[in-house]
Amino acid sequence: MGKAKKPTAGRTEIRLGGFGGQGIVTAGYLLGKAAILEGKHAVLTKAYGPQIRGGWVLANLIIAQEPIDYPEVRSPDILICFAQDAYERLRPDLQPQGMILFDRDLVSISTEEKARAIGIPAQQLAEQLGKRVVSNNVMLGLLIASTHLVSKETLERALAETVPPQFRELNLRALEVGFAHFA
Amino acid sequence: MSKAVLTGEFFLSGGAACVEGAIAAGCRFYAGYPITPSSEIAERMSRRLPQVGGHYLQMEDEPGSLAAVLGASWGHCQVMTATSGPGFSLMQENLGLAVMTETPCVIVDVQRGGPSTGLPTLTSQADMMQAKWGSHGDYELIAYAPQSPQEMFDLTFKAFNMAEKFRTPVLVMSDKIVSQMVERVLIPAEKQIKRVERRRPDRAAQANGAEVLVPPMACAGEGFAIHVTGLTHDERGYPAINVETQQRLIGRLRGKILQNGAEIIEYEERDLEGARIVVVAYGSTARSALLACRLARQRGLEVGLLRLITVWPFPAERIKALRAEALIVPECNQGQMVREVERFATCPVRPVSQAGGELLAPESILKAIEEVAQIG
Repeated sequence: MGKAKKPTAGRTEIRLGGFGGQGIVTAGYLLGKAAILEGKHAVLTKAYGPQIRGGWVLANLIIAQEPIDYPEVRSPDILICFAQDAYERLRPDLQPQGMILFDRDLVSISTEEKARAIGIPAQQLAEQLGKRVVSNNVMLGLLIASTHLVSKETLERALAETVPPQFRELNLRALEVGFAHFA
Repeated sequence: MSKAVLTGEFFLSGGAACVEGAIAAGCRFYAGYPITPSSEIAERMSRRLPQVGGHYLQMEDEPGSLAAVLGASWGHCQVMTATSGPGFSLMQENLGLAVMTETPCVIVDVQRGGPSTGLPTLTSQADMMQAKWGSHGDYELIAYAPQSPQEMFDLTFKAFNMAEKFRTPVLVMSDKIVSQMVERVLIPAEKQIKRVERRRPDRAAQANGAEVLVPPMACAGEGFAIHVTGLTHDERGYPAINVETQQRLIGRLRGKILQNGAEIIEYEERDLEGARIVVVAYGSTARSALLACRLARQRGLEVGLLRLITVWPFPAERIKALRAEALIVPECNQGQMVREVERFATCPVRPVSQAGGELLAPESILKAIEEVAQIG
C-alpha cells in the first residue's frame, strides 16, 4: 500500500492546518456534517499542540461513499492552509495530483505548485465582513465552489444547525463571499 | 427542561456520544476531575446534566471523584465518571470498593500514552490489564472496548444497564482516537430504549432465604437499615472476618460475572468461516485491522477478524473455538490482551505491538498477516 495509492475509491481526504483560534476544527466539522446530511460517510480527527490558542492545529476529514474503516488521513487529496507553517509541514504528504487552497495573504507557496493551488485573501475578506474568525467559512465557500464535495445548500444547512443564532448570518455571508470568489 | 434522549442523526465526537449514551441510560450524577484526553466528557456532562435534572460535581481529585460517584449510587442514582490513565491509576482503590460493595457505576477510561503523565494528547491501549488487575484482591468486572463514536453511545448505554443488572462497576475502555474522532451517531427514539431498573429488596423473598448471585440493593433513605463496608461481609452487610464468609463472598462476586458470560460477552465476527489466519483486535486498533484484513483478502489470503467488544470478562471460550492456523493480535501497547489470547488459543499467536502515540498502522498488521501466511 504505497502512499500515493488510495485504499478506497469514492473517498476524499482533506487536511486543514493552521493555528488555534482560526476555526480549523470547526471548518472540518461543518464540512463533515454536510457530508453526513447528504448521506455520505465522514470521519473527522484532529491533532493539536499543547497550547490552547496560538498553537498548531490540524483537522483531518475523510468523506466517502462507503463506510470508513481506518479513520486517519494519511495522504490528503486536498490541503487547506491557513498559515505558512502549516503549508511547510503538511505539503510533503499531499497526493501528487492533490490540490492546495491557501490564504494568500498569510501563505506564500512555491512557484511550481501554483498550477494546483488556489489562493484567496480569506482573512482580509472576513475582516471586511466584520469578523476575522469567519475566514474559515470564506475558505469553505471557495472549497465547495471549486470541488463540489458537498452542495452549497447542505453546507449552509450544516452551518445553520451548528452556529449560534446570533452569528448565523455573518457565517453564511462568509460562505457566500468565498463561493463567489471562485465563481 | 431539555430532552434526555436526543433522538436523531448527529455528527458527534466519541466523548459527546458517550455523554449522550449515559444520559439516555439514566445517568443523573457525574463527579470527576478533568484530564486530557477525557475532558470533553466532563465538559459536556457539566452542560447536559443540569438540563435533565441531574448533578455535575467537579471534585478535588480522582479518588474523591469515584468516592462521590459511589456515594451517589447508594443514594439510588445512576452514576459515572471519566478519566485517563493517571486518573484511572488513582481510582483503583475505590474501584475495588465498588466491586466489594457491589455498587453500580460506570467508569470511562480515555486511554493515553503512559506510564505516568506520558503522552497527554496521544493515544494508547495500555490500561487494558490495569482494568482487570489494577485494584488489589481477586475480582471480576465488565469492560467494553468501543471502536467508534456510535459504540461510545451504545456501549456506555449498555454499561449502565449491566452495572444495574449485576451490581458491578462497568468500564468503558476508550482511547484518545475513539473519544475525539467525530462520526455519524444515531440516537434511537425514547420508545426503543430499554433501561434496566435497579432491583429493590423484597421482604418476602428475603425471608425465603434463597441464595442469589446478585442481591437486590437497598439504598439510603428507602426504608431499610443498611450497612455498606469494604470489609468481607455477610448477607446482612456486616463484617465477618473469617474464611467461610470470604469464600462465599468472593465466590459469589466472581461468579455473578463469570457465570453470566453468555449474556455479558459480545464480539463481532468477520470472514471467520474457513479463515486460516484470524486477527483478534479491539477498540480503535480494530479499525486498522479491518483495513488490513480487507487488503489481505484482496491479495487472496484467507483472513478473518474477531473483534472483541467485551474485553473483560475475557471471551476465552470463543478463542478456544477458533479453528485457525495462526492468530494475530494487534494492540496499541507492548502486548497486553495478547497474553490472554495466548492462554486460550489452540494455535500459534503473534502480537503486533507499538509503544503508543498513534493508531497502529494497517501496514504493520498486513505485514504480520503476510509473514504468517508465508510460514503456514
